[in-house]
Amino acid sequence: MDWLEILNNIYPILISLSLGLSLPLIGVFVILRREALLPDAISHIILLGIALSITFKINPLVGILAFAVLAGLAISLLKNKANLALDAIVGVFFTTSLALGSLLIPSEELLETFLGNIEKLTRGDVLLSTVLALIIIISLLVKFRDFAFVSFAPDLAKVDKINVKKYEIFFVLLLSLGVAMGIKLMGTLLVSALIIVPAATAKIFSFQIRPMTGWSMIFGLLSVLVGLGTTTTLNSPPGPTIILISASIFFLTFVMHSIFRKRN
Amino acid sequence: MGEKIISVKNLGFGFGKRQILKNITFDITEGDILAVIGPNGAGKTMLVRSILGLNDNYTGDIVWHKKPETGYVPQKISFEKGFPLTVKEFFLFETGSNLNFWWPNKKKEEEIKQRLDDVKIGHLINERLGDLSQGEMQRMLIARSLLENPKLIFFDEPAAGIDISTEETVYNLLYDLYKKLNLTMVMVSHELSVVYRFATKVICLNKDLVCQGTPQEVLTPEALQEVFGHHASVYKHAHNLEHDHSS
Repeated sequence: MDWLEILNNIYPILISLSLGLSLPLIGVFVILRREALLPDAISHIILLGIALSITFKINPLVGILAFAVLAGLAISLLKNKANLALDAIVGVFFTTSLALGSLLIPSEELLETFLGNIEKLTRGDVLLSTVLALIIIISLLVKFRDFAFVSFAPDLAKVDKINVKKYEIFFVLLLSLGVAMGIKLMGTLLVSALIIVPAATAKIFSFQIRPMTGWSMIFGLLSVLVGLGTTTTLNSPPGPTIILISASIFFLTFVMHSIFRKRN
Repeated sequence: MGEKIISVKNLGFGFGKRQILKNITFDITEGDILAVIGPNGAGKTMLVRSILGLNDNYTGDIVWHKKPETGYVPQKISFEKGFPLTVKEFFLFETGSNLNFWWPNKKKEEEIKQRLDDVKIGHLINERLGDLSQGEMQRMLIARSLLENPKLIFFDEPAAGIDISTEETVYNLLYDLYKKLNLTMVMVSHELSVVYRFATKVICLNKDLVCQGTPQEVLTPEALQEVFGHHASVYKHAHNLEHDHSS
């Protein structure tokens, strides 16, 4: 086996670890904050970034990252301004970007933008995802307590002299980068599901936030590993395959938990 | 008399064209139990939130002369009832380091248990927050506010949602803590009888600052009429509370 072959085998593992661990970790906070719509909004704003990259013939990665950061900052700023509820802001961003993106992206590329494509992943994408995932995982785990406190009871955190605004912006940026790194593989329509579904699954049976976090990451990794395996075998689009695996784990857990709880 | 901690000068705020409060001027001094009373919608909670820096939308000045460790017991916290977070985890948000959250040490756990025991809910340490009753939640929030040994505590309706028999326990407990820990307290309260017995200073709000002073001086039928707009009086219990500071 030569080096190229070893590297080619490592990439799927790297991308599975990066996405499978970091996105469900973000998901724990998204659910804690009751902002499950937010990842969807960000992914659709990024769709506009992809569309503009195609129109102006620049590297889509530039468009994805630029619009991810833009989306994060715009949402953080607007959230505390005006009399706009977050879901209304999200609704407006979401649909406008989707409409514009759909018009600008050539129809032959539209489906893979929506549903993801593993063949479009370059070596650079995989390495960038690995670096971003490390940043997300280390930041959120090391500062877990502060992020959770700020998400759960921002007023009490502020009285405790925690810089709530700084954590809020930092979190939304991490979320945006997470969405950005997952978008090529999972597609704009489905990337948010890898953030939400594993965390929602872990929440079914968890009693404390710490185990919930661990289980969320385990379910996420499992979904991506099994999903990518299935994609390669069946030649199916990766986004829907991974999400169907993830959703199956959710329903299985839900049923098992209901049965187990009744027995007790 | 102790030193001034906070001075509020000409404070006012409103929503749109509706003025809620205006011309509010008072001081919070070390050792005070300052009661803030007024009818619903008088802006009592907003006043406390403004002092704590949780509301920037006001006119006038709020000056902190010193920055003592400060605790806050809000009226309620809003969260999703089904979320997996235990009382212990919630307390670990406040105390110790980020690393402690993953691996809490025995000493921290004992401190938390002790605070919960103080308000008689030590057995709930591993319960989920969403499974607590309203009264348990209120006690839990009181215990939490005391965790970092504050010198100044703001209570927004500390006995809301607590039945009358435990309400006395809560106020007695607060008064015990006040004496033991040399606290300064600011409490929003509807309970005029409690205010009468416990507070060292009262401010009455109804748009303007209607009265200010010791409860014995200012809680006159006329002042209460002006605050609450109907007949209100201080109901005195037949029995005395254990810790009546005026006695």
